[in-house]
Amino acid sequence: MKQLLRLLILIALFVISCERGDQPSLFPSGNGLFLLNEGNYLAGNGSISFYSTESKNIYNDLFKTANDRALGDIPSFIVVDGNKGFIIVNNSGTIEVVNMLTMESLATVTGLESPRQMVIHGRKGYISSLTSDKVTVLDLDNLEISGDINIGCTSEAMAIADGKLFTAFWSGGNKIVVTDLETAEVITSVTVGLEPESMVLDRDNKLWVLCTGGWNGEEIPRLVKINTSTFGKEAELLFRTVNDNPSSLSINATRDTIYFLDEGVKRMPVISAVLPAEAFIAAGDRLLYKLAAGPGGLIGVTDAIDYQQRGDFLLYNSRGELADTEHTGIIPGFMLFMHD
Amino acid sequence: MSKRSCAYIIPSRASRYLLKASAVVSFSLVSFDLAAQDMFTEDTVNIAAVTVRAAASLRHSPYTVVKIDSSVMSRHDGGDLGTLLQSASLLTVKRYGNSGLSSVSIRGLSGSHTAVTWNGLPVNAPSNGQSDFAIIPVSAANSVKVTSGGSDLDDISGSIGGKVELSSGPVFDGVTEASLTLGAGSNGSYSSALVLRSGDADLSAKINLWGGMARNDFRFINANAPGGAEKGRRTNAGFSSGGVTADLGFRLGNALLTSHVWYNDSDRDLPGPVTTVEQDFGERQKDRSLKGVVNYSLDHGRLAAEVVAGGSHDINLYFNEAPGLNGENSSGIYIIRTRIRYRMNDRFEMVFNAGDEYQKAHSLSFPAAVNRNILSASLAARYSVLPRLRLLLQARQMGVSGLKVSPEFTAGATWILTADGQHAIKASLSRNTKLPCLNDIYWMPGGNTTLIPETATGGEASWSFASINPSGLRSTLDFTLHASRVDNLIQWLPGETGLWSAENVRSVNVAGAEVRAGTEVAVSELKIKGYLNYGLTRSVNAGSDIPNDRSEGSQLAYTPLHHLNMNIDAGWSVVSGGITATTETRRYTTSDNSEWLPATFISDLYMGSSVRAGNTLIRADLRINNILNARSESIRNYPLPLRYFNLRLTLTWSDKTKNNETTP
Repeated sequence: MKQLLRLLILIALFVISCERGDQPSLFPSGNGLFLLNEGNYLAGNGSISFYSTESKNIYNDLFKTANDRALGDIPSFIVVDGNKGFIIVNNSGTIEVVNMLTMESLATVTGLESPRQMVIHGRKGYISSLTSDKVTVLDLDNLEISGDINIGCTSEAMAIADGKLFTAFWSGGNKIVVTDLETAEVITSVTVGLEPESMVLDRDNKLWVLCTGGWNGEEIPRLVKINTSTFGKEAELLFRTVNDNPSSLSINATRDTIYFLDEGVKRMPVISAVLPAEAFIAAGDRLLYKLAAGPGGLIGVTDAIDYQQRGDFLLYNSRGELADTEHTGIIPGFMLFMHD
Repeated sequence: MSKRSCAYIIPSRASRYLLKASAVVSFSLVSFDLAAQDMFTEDTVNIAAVTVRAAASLRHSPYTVVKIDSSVMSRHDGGDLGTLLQSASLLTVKRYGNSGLSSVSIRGLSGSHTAVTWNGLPVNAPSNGQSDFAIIPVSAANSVKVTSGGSDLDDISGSIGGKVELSSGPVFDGVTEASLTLGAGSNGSYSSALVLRSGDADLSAKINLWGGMARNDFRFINANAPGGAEKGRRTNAGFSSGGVTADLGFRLGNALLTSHVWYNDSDRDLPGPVTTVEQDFGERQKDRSLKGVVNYSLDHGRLAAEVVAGGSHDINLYFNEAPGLNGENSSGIYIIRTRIRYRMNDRFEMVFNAGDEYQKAHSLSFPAAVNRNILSASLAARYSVLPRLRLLLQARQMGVSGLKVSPEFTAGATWILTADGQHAIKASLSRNTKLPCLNDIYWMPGGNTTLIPETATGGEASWSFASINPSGLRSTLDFTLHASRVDNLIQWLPGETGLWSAENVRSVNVAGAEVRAGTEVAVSELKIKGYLNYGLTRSVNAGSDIPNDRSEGSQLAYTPLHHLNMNIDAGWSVVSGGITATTETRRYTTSDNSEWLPATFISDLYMGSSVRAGNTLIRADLRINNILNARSESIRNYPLPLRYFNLRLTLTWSDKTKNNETTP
């Protein structure tokens, strides 16, 4: 009888250990990129995918699989701090803090007004807002909102250089607001083109700002280069006409080449003084939505097709050749390369 | 050559029979409409069918026209039209939560493909082409008729999904009556209604006032809550509404003059999806509308004529905590139309319809106030080629400012198979169009002035059974197969410039089967009615101009493959009760069917009792909605309530005592 009991206990322990230890990972570790699928506005069906550049496979709907609930409405941005990922879910008004290895939710930050993007400086995260004039400050250790900075306008893209926060006034705006993070005071603002949609810092800490010219073609789009020390504009490159619609400025891992969408994918060395005339990758029959430049010259772009079905992720190599195509979630948008 | 032509013009007796037979075959192969007028009476079987009273004129229509049973309507009195149609017809309703914006779908097409009329006046907003069924109270009409498909060409402009007709016709019963209803229910809901009517054999006057409000903070299950599914309470979902209708009717010999006025005012909070943590962005919507219709008709036996004139003015106000986002939209529709019917003999009649519809709309998103004029005329020929075989051929031509519209036609046949009228088969074919709405054309940015009308080509075939048993058992059964193709479907898509625009990009194939069954049985004082509707609707994307589109062959979003509802009512002496059950299979929420809402089963229970004291009838009704406490969503993350209650008390004073007041 005792032996039978021992056997049963051993079997039970074996079963329990199998359940805990043999849980297959939702996605492989290694190089790849995380891709946020915005989902349909108000539908709350945003999701996150991982594309492994090693196995060339995509793993969709990771958050829901790991947590048995939807990620939310319009996940728009992700930033990583160690093993923690901070997924900005715009229309849900939340930040989902996840374990980047398992995608399990560690916390849900609330109390945010239409959060858009986040940058990290020290142990603080700075969160932009589509509707508030304030940049919200998140304490990364206790995952609580610790304050805010009133910058006098709404905000979108952000970058930090030399302890200064550069915030783009995108929706209807035309300036980059500079804030000293030491004092949490606005220092100045730099007037750029209408609706600065995206920006990146290059290897020389110069800030490149892509201005769309307004949603209704109010002015000719432009690419502006700003000195982050003097706040002066070092270059202002105009596109062709008001009908151009460049977007999704990105920079490669070595921060020497910028990429953006403009009737295909265009690339430009940061030392260049003119905009590229020809597309590096032609759009073909694709309606390209977002772009991200990665290590080794890899370029990821997304196609949302009709915005009501699963979209496509397209990976191009450094020669601009299509390396892979995968189906994503609904409206694949922001991408973040992860690499050694 | 000329002789041969003459031979066709004056055919021989044999040729005439041959031609006649050919015509019969041709017309049988195509289809027909006999909806409005009974040309035969010997087979008239006027009994309750499916949620539908199968009046002969409807049963003889070669395409599907059903009328919601008055007892089912009265049970939904105080509710909205969307809820009624969801549970008592084969329409499916897409609803942004309880009391939220609601649109209906007939045979798989969208809300903008469904025409809604009130006493002949189009109710669809010219801006987006839709009607919000959440703010149309059932009490605004005393009759609801649903036509499936776009075969009915009697109106000035048409639809390709179907038509919902609301009417509040006069009642010349000489009764003077006053009725006051007070209601209260779960989630802070209160309602009230006052109906006054009077008249004589030639005069009918009725005024109906109603009002209601609710906190609407109902319980629901949030499947996407952090930490897993949990019960929650909806916030920021309150609504209030009120309105008045006034109906007048005069009978002057062979002439009938009616006038109708309807004012409606609603105010709703607009909650976000439950996945949004912050629910209150100060979003609210107010809708006000004023409608009026005058109808004059004259019936001189062989010749009948009707003139309808009316208009509506609608205002939609949107509020946001950010004042810059506030919106104000207004629109109006003004119509005048005439209908002339001439009966040449007992077997042949012609109907001519002509009218003009002027639409205007104003929105912050329009470059200026926009308008358009729709002029149309239709001609129908109805011919009884055999005593029980009727044929219909109808054609309509619209003239629209700025648009080229092809002629539309409907052809159909109805064949009463047996002399007792129990069995009938019918079939119809039609080709019709739906005009782009003003938003599609003028919205800035993205409005497209080069859009062409959406077109639908299709048909249906039905077998209909109706019988009245000497024991009092009444039964109906209708089985319909339908198929159609819609081309040039308009969809908003992003372009290379990043701006969305309206394009004619998709084609849709719709095919399905429908079953409608009804029965009524009376045993002594016990009366039982049962209605069942089942629809199988395969509505798939048949092709598109969108690059890399993978949705071809996929079911259209929010169209369930199976829809089934059932209503059972029972009345005995002074008590009555009933149950309604509606089930739908999964509804896809994406064009490639990669995501869906699960199947739903919602059942409601009601019971009531009445007591008469002299000329006053006191009635109490209790309704338990969603008795099984089922979780359901019509739009993803816009939950509908778990179980909730409504209690109503109605006092009716009448100068005449009627029979059967207690029957539901």
